Amino acid sequence: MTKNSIWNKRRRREIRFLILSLTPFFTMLFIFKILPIFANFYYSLRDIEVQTSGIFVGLKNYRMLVNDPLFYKVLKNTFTYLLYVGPVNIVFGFLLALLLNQKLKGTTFSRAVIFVPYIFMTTLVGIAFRWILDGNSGLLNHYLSYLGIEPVYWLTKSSTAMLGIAIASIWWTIGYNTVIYLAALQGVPREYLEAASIDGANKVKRLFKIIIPCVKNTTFFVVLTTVIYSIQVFGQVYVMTSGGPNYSTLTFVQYLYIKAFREFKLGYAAAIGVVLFLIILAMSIAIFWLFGDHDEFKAKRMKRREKFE
Amino acid sequence: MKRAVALFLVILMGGILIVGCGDSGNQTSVGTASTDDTTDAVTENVTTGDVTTVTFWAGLTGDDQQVMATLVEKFNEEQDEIQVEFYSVTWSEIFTKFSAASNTSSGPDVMLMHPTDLSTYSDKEMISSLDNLIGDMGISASDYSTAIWEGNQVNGSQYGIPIDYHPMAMFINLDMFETAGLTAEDAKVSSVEEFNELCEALTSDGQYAIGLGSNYAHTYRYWYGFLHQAGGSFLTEDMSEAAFNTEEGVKALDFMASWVTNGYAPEAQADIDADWLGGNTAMVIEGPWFIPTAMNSGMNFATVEFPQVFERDAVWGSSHTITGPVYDDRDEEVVSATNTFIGWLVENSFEWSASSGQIPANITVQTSEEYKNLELYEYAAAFINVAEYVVYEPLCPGTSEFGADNELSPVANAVYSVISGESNTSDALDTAAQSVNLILE
Repeated sequence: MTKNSIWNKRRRREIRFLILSLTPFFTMLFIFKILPIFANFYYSLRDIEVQTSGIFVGLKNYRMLVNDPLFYKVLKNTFTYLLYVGPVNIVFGFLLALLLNQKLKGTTFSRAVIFVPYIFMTTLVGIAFRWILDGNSGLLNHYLSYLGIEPVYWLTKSSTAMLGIAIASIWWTIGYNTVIYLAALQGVPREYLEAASIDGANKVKRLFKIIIPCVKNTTFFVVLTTVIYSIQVFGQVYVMTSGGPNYSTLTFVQYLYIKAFREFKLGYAAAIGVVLFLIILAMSIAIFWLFGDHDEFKAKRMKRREKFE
Repeated sequence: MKRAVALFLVILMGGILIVGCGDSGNQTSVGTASTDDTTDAVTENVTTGDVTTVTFWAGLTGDDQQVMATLVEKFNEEQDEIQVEFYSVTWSEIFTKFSAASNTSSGPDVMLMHPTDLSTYSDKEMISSLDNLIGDMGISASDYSTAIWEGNQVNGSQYGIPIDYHPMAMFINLDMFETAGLTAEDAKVSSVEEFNELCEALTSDGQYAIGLGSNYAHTYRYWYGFLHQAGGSFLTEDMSEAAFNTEEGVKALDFMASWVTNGYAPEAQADIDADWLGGNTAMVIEGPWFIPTAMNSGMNFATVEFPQVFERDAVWGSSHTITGPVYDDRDEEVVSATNTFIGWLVENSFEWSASSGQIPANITVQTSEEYKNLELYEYAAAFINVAEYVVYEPLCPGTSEFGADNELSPVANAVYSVISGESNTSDALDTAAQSVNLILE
């Protein structure tokens, strides 16, 4: 009895201390992250002039958005970017990790080289690639000319501008996926691989039957983050093309930014933000469902049913 | 021990939080509260009441920001009754801040803008009409060309005092002209044929006559000039509808597109300035802000008026213009100090021009010996000569959306898509006109 009460006292004190420690962080989190998210829903239903809280207009902002031809361009551009960057970042991120996981000379150095771009600032990457991709005097076109390829006006033609941004983005972000995969690959149990090779499984078979299933959880994480980050692309676009030429690289966040901070249509921008949120939510649910363990789920349900019967 | 350290950290963090929150709230009272602090000049002045503080905001960056900061400093040193505090970040950022601070005394007393911003902010009642204050500033309308003075009016009321004006002109590489057997006089063209002849002579293998970049703001500005030369107009007179999707608009845009198709200008050019400075193009159309850069490059160059190829004379132009933001309960002292400062700034605008290249809008300043003695004066003539026919962008609230400074401008994007050969001229202008009409509704 006495022992128990001492334990309780101690525990209560510990909990109090924990709450005290966490309060500053959660206060900040609430004020600067959670509150704005909900406030955004509220703002999206209002017509906001700069210095006022605006007037309630119901779904007017959303109706305007549906009738806005630029909105569909923005949708298309954002998904084009995702299609360019997503698969390459995931598949090549994995392949690079496989390569770097080999016991070869210089892998440590290569790992560093591949990851370093990720820690650069977006602005830096954007400006450097603006030079590299320049149509008339860019580095990339210079090397392409050796292959007999006519100069490509990467960032100044609406047909190739998004591709140009994708190239810069891939170079910039692929290292992140590689490092995540590398960690996962090192966690693949060696016994499995050895056992499989003793049983006569070749390299390709080992890759598909053992390695890929083993890193499935990592793949889930990588796919999810790649999709979310791609849909939210902003920095590269802002620095490299500002959404041009002829709206060809205008993505969601860039559009939202211009509407909110150039034209000060805060309610409208909030509505764009909500739509972006819903798209990301839908994509995330789809990915969860895609990677969810349906067999396990089914088995559980069967068990429950059996119990019931 | 561990516990003590943890507790200390918590207190420290909590303390930072409290200090962080408290500071912003107390900011305004700091000056008056700390009477014992005599080392800080501003604090001292506020408490003794001798000095009036005027805040001045602008969106200038780089060299321009330095020039303006030096000018303000000079004003502060010349007299000891007014202390001007100058603050400048990029245009888009300063307008964001301006909106957040509007109608509170934490906003500026003086703000620099472009005329295209005037109607946007006067419409939102964020800046006030200066009609009654112009006299106190020692400024008179007769000191300005009509086009420039009226380019800063919204519904007939003066909202901005232009400190400078910046139309466009051609910068020509004299060495390349000489090689082609031409002189600067030949660049003063008065018809499409003459312009084409000039460009023909300057185009050779790997060398282009003129730059026409993917800087959509610039291509829009060129087209805006040519549109008015052809007799067209951007909006209808009552500024309720687009009026550029006409024969004149098409003519102006087709003319520009022909620079690329004729091979006078490089295709999908990324940087017109760099290509001109690097000797890839013989001419570039730029504003007076480019004069210092061109001079520093050590090139042998001259400036020539913007090509006048159609019936009328016209060229796009804009200004940096001084505005007075609105807020309640402004002290009389601050108002008069603000007027004094604006008057001084206009009077000394040649110094602003000396380093920024911008042309003084005030004719007294423009014809002053101080200005004429400047090294860059010889390049300013091409800009000064056009003062009578500069065309400002229409001053209605929508301008901030379809004007050149907005990346989403449907007009600028249409102009660019035609130049890059991606759209048909009249279709592109029609679509742009529809978007402009939507904005104006």
